[in-house]
This record gives sequence, structure tokens and C-alpha cells, in this order.
Amino acid sequence: MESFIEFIDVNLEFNGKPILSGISFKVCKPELVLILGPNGAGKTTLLRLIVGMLKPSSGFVRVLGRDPHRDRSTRRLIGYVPQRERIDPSIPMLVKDVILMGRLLSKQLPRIVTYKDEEEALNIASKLGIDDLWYESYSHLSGGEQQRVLIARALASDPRILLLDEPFSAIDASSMKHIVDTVYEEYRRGVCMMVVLHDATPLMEHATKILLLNKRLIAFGDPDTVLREDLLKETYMRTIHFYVRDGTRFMGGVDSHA
Amino acid sequence: MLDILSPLLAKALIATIIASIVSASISPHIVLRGLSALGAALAHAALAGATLSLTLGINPTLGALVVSVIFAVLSGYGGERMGGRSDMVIGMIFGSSTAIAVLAVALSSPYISSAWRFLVGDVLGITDYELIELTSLGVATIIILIVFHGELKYTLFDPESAEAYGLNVRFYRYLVLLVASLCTVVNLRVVGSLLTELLIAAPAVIAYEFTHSFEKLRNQAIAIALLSSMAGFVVAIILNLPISGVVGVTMLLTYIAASILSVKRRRCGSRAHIRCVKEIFRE
Repeated sequence: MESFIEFIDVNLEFNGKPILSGISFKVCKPELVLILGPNGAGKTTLLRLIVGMLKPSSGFVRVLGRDPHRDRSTRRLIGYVPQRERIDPSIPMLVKDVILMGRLLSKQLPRIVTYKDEEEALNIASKLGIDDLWYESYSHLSGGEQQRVLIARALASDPRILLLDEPFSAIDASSMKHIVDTVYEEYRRGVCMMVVLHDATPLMEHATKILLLNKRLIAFGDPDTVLREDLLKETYMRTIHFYVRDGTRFMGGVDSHA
Repeated sequence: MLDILSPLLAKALIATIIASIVSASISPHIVLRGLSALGAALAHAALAGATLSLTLGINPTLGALVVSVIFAVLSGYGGERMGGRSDMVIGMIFGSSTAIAVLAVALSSPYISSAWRFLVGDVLGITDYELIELTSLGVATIIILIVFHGELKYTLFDPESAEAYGLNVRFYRYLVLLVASLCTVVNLRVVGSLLTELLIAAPAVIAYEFTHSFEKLRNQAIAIALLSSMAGFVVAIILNLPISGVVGVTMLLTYIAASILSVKRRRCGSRAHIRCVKEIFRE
């Protein structure tokens, strides 16, 4: 059976310095995977390898059976939500332009916006509660609203795999709820989700797999088997308290992400 | 009396309109990518190419195009080598292309009047052949900008995600540099190398005061460039002043007026106020 994402002994070096070493794991069916690790663990780099923006120094990355670095068409099947801080808000863009970007870039040339594109993009915006911001300037939105716009953009391309990089960084409670609900709904619809998080608490109850990373793969598997204090300590290099309250898992002692 | 139907003025007017539209169309891509200084550097490179061509007896438009494209590619490559700091490379290009231009002007002493026309522009002296050249380059520029509008816009806004969607961000960065070179050559005969930077940068800078939409920014930049250059053209003809100089001053006055009347700044101010009040109530 064709796997969604497969890493086979992947190593990545930059100027001779190892960034990721000996990463091997396989996601065979749509899962909701949380990628956890401290700052500088290589979490964003892992997403960039999946999307094909980086080429492994050695080893193989396969996404839906293809090499995403060599076969750029694979990237149209992946939705990517980067860290919000990396986008320049001074560029004049309306919310509708940002969301339609996902829709248009998943098409072949010439990329022309149709009525159907706008309608479907607006439906996605509505799911995330940002349809009333359609003609607003992206730069005028709050952090949470901007994050929802970026997720709507990724969903507008109708991806089979969705990669989210720190989606809960500095956002309000309402946006967090919209994002958690949407991520879970998309997973149930059959989209494979890979979510990079510093603190996993918001999505912990929905996660089906956890990947612990600190330049190497510490553990990959079901939350029940992976979320152990010894593995978390190995990942974060210090004690992380893990506890369950009313059936919900919590992690304590993880700094909020800068 | 001003005879707009005279072939001389009609050709000058058409050339000014084309230069305005082409400059304003590329203007948002140059300004928002932080490449405003590149306009000046490429204008000097184009001047160097044109004057060298005069000395060597070849077509100055071709020479201007070749040299400005070479310098544009060098600025892109140098910027990559410097980790995205293209300003340092642009500074080098600016200085070196000016040096070449000065040498070429000195060497082309029999053609000094022609060289002077490329420096300050001489739209009234434009020939039929030059108008055809200018129109062809202008049309090529506009076609590239229309065909790749979405790609250029998205690689500007969020290059990382554009790359993730499979766009070759590097290719589009070089495409902008190529189009900027074409635009510089179009402007060379109309406003000259000294004012090319202003015509490329000013329209988007002025329009930026009024809009939050990329398409509106581009359209307003075109309207501003057309109105300013037309007004400058008419005033220059009536008062018998150099057209390029008056067009430049008109642009400057438009920018000052736009800064004072800026709808965006006022709206941003009120939005910031509303957001601040909301946050206070939320707390």
C-alpha cells in the first residue's frame, strides 16, 4: 500500500553541521501526527523535507510514493502553513487574495480565478469563521485571524497532506478553538496532518501519533506509548511533567514558544 | 499654440504614456521587494550600455538592454551569495556602472549630444524607429507582468509557501530583475537615466498610501504615473521646460500631496485605536 509519508534513514547537514540524523518513520494512513521537540530540534526542517523544499544529504523522503524534492507536482498535494512571523505584513494583500493563493497555486498554468474557486475558498473561510474578513487587509488582522487565513489558504488547495508549523503561537482562545476543530475535522475527512508544536496540549486529545524530535528521532508512535516522562526528558533535555486530567493529556514545564 | 497633433508631440506623448504604464506596472514589484535602489543602478548600467554602443557604433537600445540585463543578473546572483543582502551588490553595481558610463561618455566625444540625451532624456527627439523599439519592449514587459501576475505576487508575499506549492521562487526573482531591465531601457529615451529610478519607484510609493490590495496598488500606480507624467508633459510644453525634469517634479509633488492626504494612515490609525479599545474590553 502507498504510504503517505516515509523517511528512510534521512540525514541533513548544513555546512558540515548535522541538522537531522538518521530519521526513519512511516505514516501509512491519514493520521494526526504531533511533532514535538525543543527550539532548534529540527521540527520545521522536517516539514521542509516533507514538502520538498530541502533535499536530504543522505537517505530518502517519499511523499505519496514520490520524491517531493525532484517531483514538484507532489507539492500540489500538500498544504503548508508556515510560521506566521515569517510573512511580511507590509505587503498589501486582502484576505481573499491570500486564501485564493492556495487555490490558484495548486492549478496548472494559466492560473485564472473562477467563480467556483472563489465560492470554495469562501466556504473554507466560513468554516474557520473568517468569511466576514474576506475583503479586509491581511496586515490588519490579529495574530489568530492571520493564522486562520493561512490555514484556510492551505485547505483551499484541497490537500491530501496538511503540514502546520506552530499554528498556536501567540493566538487568542477563539482562534485556537477554530483551528483545533478544523484540524480534527480535516483529519476525519481523510487528510493526513503533521503539526509541529512546542506545547502539544491544545491538540493532545485528538492526536493519533506523536513524533518526538531533537535532531534525531527520539520516538514515533501512539500517544500512549510515546508520552512517557523518560522519552520527554530525552527530547527536551529536562524534566517535562505529563499528566491526565478528566481524560485529557497535559504537558507541563514546556516553555511557550518564542 | 500647443499642437498635440504634430507628429513630434504625438510621438513624445505616446512614448511618455508607454514609459509611465510600464514603469508603474513594475513599480509595486520593485518597491515591495525592497529593490528601489536597483532602478537607479540599472538606469546607470543602461546608460553605460547605450553610451558604449554609441562609441562602438552599434544600436544603443540593444547595448543598454544587454548591459542592464547583465547587471540585473549580477545583482540577483550577488544578492544570493550575500544571503539576500542585495543592497550591497546594488551599491557596487551603481558605482561601477556609473564609472563605465563616465568613461563611455568621455570616449564617445563625437556623440556627446546623443549621450546627453540618454542621461536626461529627450522624448521630443524620439525617432519613429526608437518609438517602435520602445513600444515593443513595453509590450513585452506588460505581457510578462500579466502572464506571471499571480506568481510574482505570491512569491513576493510569502516566498516560503510559494516554494512549498512548487513555484520556483528564484526564477521569479530573476524575472523581476529582467523586467526591471526592460523597463529601464524603455525609460532611458523618455526621462533619461537620472530620472528612471523616480519613475519606477514613485508610483507604487504614492499608491501605497491609499490601498491594502495589491491589484489596486498596481492600478492606482498606473493612474498616478499617467496623470503625473501627462500633467508634467503639458506644463513642460507650455512653459518650454525639459519634459523629464517637470515630470520628475510633478511626481515629487504628487508624493507630498499623497502623504498629506493618505487615507490609509488615517484608517490604520483608527483601526489601531479600535483594536486597542477591543483589547481593553477583552481584558
